[in-house]
Amino acid sequence: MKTNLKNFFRKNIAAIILLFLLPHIVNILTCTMMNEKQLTDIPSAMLLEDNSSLTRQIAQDFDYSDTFSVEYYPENIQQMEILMQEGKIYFGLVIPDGFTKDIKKFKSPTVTALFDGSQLSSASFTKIASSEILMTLKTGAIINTYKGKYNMSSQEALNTAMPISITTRLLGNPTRNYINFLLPGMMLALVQVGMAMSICADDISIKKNITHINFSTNILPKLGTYSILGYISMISILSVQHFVFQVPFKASFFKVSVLILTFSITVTCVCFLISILIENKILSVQAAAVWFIPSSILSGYTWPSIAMPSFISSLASLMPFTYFANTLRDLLLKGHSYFYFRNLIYLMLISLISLIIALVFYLLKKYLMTRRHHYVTVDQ
Amino acid sequence: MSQLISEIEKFISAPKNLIFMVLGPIFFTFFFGMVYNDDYLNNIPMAVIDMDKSSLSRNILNEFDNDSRYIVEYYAEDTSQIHEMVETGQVSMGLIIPEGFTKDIKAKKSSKAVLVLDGTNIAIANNALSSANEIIATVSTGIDIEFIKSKNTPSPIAKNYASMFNINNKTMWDSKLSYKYYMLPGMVLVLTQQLFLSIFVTNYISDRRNVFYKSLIHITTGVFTYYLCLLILKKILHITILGNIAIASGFAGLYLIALTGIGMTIGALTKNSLRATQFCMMMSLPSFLTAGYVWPVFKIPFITKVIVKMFWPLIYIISPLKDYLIKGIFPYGFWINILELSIFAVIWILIGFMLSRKFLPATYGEIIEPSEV
Repeated sequence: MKTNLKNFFRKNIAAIILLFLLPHIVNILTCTMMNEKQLTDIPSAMLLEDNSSLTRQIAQDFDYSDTFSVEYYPENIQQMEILMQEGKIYFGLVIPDGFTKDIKKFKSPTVTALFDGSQLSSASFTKIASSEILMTLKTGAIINTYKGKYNMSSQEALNTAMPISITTRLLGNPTRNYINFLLPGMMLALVQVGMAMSICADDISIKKNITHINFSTNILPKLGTYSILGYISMISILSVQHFVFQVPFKASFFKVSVLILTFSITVTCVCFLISILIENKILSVQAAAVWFIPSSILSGYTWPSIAMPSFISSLASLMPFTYFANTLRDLLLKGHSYFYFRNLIYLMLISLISLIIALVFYLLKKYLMTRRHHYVTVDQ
Repeated sequence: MSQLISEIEKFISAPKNLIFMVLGPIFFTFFFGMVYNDDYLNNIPMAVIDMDKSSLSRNILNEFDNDSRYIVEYYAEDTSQIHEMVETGQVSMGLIIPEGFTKDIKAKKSSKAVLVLDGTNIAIANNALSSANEIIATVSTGIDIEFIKSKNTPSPIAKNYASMFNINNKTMWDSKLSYKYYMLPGMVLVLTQQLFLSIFVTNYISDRRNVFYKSLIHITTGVFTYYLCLLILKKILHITILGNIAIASGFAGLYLIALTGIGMTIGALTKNSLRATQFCMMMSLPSFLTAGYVWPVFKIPFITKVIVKMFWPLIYIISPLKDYLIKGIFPYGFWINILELSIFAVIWILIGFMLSRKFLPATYGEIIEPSEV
């Protein structure tokens, strides 16, 4: 028993590392990395050219918000730009000289907010957060003016200053949690690559012995094993994310399971096709990598496919991950996916087509090998 | 010298070396350049419901319809339909203009427009939200000015009252906040890393003689490829690169030196090209996700950062190098990172060298597993 187990692990060490060990280590590492879930305390600077109680109040409001951490008070705009160039700050606010005086005289002074455009993630967060803070301050100042100038009540002044107010409802991921947004799909993309690397390197279609191989007794069980191993690895990764890192799991376990199992089978079938088409194992592994690694980008999981050129979207439509990733995220974060059944059907179709093409090539190869084998035997 | 020439001959005689190490990264630079070619995320599908049906509400809808960022795909009949469409992903954003919207505004009862967004994809949600806020704020300020004017206040003063102070948003280096600027400079280094590793390790396993010259040839080719990819970013994909491409390529060379140690270790532990290729290919996604590129380094917990820094060198260089390329000056802490990268390189080259001596056979050539035949 012990020897059997040892042999099993020795024989399948690569698959164990690629399918289980590496994805789980990376999953824990990345979840721990992003454990704050939102970008908070972003290093910022304030240039207060006008030192009044109002401007100090503005600086304080920024410093008290979760998003900003005011770490520098430069003396001029050039210093602030240098801080940003050096990567010491990602946001800067410039309040010009005479700001309070100009407000009192209704001269509409201009506050400049400086964003580091090279850091997309922090810039998008700081843009929204700074605009919220500044708009609140602005509305407060307008209300005070209206109350004084037009004898309005606070409520009336508020309604005049802000005739349209906006209520925002962010469905699915209301706190803009980075782990929820990125990691479920990315980690399963990693398992997908692990599956591809393992299957294409396996002896699913031992080229020289193909004459002795039977599809139903030799190949099918292997494909089934890989599909199940992929499924187990994906489910255990999602379990860690859910139970340890609080990633929501709103849909039923059954629904998610069906999607993952179908995806796992599809990946296995596509890999089987690649390994049948490309005889050289290293080349087969490389081809699988070229097909599966970019799919996490092309699927529209991070950068939406509506923003990609149409021929790239068409290419992505051939990749299983396209029908899987967004559906999975919808199931986890919203509890349902509008395209659930449609995408299941697409995944099944890809599996079926891959399997049929692979089988045709497999049978063709087997036939040719058998004939060659026959002639060799006759010659001998 | 003859050893160097023999290694160069060996390297050139295998077409896969040049195809993978030079043409591969160039192809993928073009390819991903096309993926991220759109500066803005345009045509975000949205659904609207106008329960007010006034000229003001129609004006707001027109503003959205005329903005290239949005495409109004559905006119819903009730609010639940809007929620359903956003929930089901048919649209990314919904706008609800309630009944009595204009009447409430005229009666100075602040009226509430509701934006419903699909927050599952932060890239779309942030984009959609910031522009929608701008549109509504502009319309709102316009109404405010009209109010004040109706109180016998001259138009310029009404404008000043309503705006109180202006906010000038200045985004440095990439005013459009595009994915192209954000992703491609880092991605090019990852592409170079992947194809360098997969070729170097397989060549090292099949023949570990002349490791110094072998590394030199692979690193030089990698640096040359990285240089070409940066040129493509600058000249063809029109990314404004303020840093010096040659200097950046030099630092990429140092990174590749650090990778040779990792490559030798992978080679020694896997002992065959197939296993090594599997492992190298598997590392692209984890190395990118843990390198402080997607999630900034200053937000990574100390222990996690130490663990990553011990095992993969990308974290030392990817963000600093991107910052240098985009901003044109070396970012804060750049030289400390370079020093740490150099120490990493020395340690891992020693580890790789020792493991190779222990595990790779003295007779040169690859160990082929029976299953691989």
